[in-house]
Amino acid sequence: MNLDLSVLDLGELTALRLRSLYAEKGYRRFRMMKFEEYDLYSHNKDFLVSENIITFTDVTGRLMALKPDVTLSIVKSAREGEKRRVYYNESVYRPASGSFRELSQVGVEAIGEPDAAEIVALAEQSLGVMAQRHVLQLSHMGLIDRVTGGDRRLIRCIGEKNLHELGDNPDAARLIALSGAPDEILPELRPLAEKYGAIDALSELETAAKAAESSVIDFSDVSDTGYYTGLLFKGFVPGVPGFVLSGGSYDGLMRKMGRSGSAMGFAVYLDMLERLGEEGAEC
Amino acid sequence: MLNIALPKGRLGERVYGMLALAGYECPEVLEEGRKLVFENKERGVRYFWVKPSDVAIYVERGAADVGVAGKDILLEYKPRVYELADLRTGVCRMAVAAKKGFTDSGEHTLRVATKFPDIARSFYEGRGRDIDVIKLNGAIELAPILGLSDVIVDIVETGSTLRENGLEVVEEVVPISARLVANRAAYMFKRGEIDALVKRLGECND
Repeated sequence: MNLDLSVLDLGELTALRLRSLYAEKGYRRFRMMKFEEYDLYSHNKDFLVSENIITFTDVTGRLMALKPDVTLSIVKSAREGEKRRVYYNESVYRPASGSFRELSQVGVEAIGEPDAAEIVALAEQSLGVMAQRHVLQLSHMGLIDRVTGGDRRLIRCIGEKNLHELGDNPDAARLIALSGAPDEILPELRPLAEKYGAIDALSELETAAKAAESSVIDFSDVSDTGYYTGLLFKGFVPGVPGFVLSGGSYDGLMRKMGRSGSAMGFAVYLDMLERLGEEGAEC
Repeated sequence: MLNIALPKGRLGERVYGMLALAGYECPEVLEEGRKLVFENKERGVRYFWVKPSDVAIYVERGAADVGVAGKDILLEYKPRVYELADLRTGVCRMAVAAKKGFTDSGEHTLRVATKFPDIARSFYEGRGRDIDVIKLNGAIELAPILGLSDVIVDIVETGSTLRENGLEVVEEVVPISARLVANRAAYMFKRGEIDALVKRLGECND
């Protein structure tokens, strides 16, 4: 029987392409259970995008959840010291526009000693599967935390590119202004990184930038959850009003779940692609 | 081509004036009529007239690349957008107001009537004050007059509406003005155009 791929919608086709890409690179398929114990999420609320979770009581009386997240489950199932490179294709259940929605996620997680350059390159290749033109935004919470001293108001302003509400904070203003091509921005970042003892963060950004062709350094990608404390990245394709890909290193989550070692990964939000191809990418 | 959402009304017309001065003119925009979309290919801009409280939604969802929204809307609905500039127009303040001579004894739950429940809640949470929020959609000044609420949290400009109704400002919550917002994804692909617009607006209006 000849397979007619034209019956697939863009999301399904993209999922297949991404899964082939990750399998090719040696990532193993991770299959999630349909439901997780609610406890996993209630103990890690800060890691989740939303506290709103669909729950039910199973036949043995345990409180279960329709999973809002995949990363937590993957970390939970990894043994201490275990190195893993996995990909997944799962549905997650999150509130959106006033009700719950089932969202389709394809993603990659590398637990143990993740190769940042490999993962960033893979993220960019994932974008390339979706659109010829794309942008991978690179940010780093280590640098942002050190420059702002963890001040949430400053972090929020940086996240909004809001210079006018910063007050007298020239270094935070610098983090907003320094946005653009890595070749231009990275050298300008060096004095700031040195001032705040964040040369490690700078070199992680340099490694990531080298691994991608269409990346920009831009610190408006912030995370104040305490789980993503290092490299952060988001992927955009023309015609989609928000990010289609989101990732970073989440050593903070590993610690919280009692694991040593590092972890890094990203997820692609296939539902964001629904509008692609409807009107043509750009106006 | 930049897609710009303008709030219908005086503020939007004033902001259009600022943009025209900065080189983004499209004179059709000010003509009488019901047209909602205007384009000036040479200047690379397309304008839309949008209900003021909807501008942030258009921008957040990418139907517009940039837009002008009041800080009150941004604080209440917290859209995921960049806030690139304070246009320093449409200046007013969000304030707590009550009948002249009102004092809050702190003895019972304060009834607060407002169009901005989230702003009101954050403000009083910061004070540790227990409140009962009554969400209304307009003519908020009526609420304390008729005893529906103890106080209101509302936008105050000159304060004349309050005074005419025997109300007075009790304290300021936050200053409000028109802000330039941008879609986060649009910025990744149109950063040059958007940065240029912000820069020229800033230069022209200093």
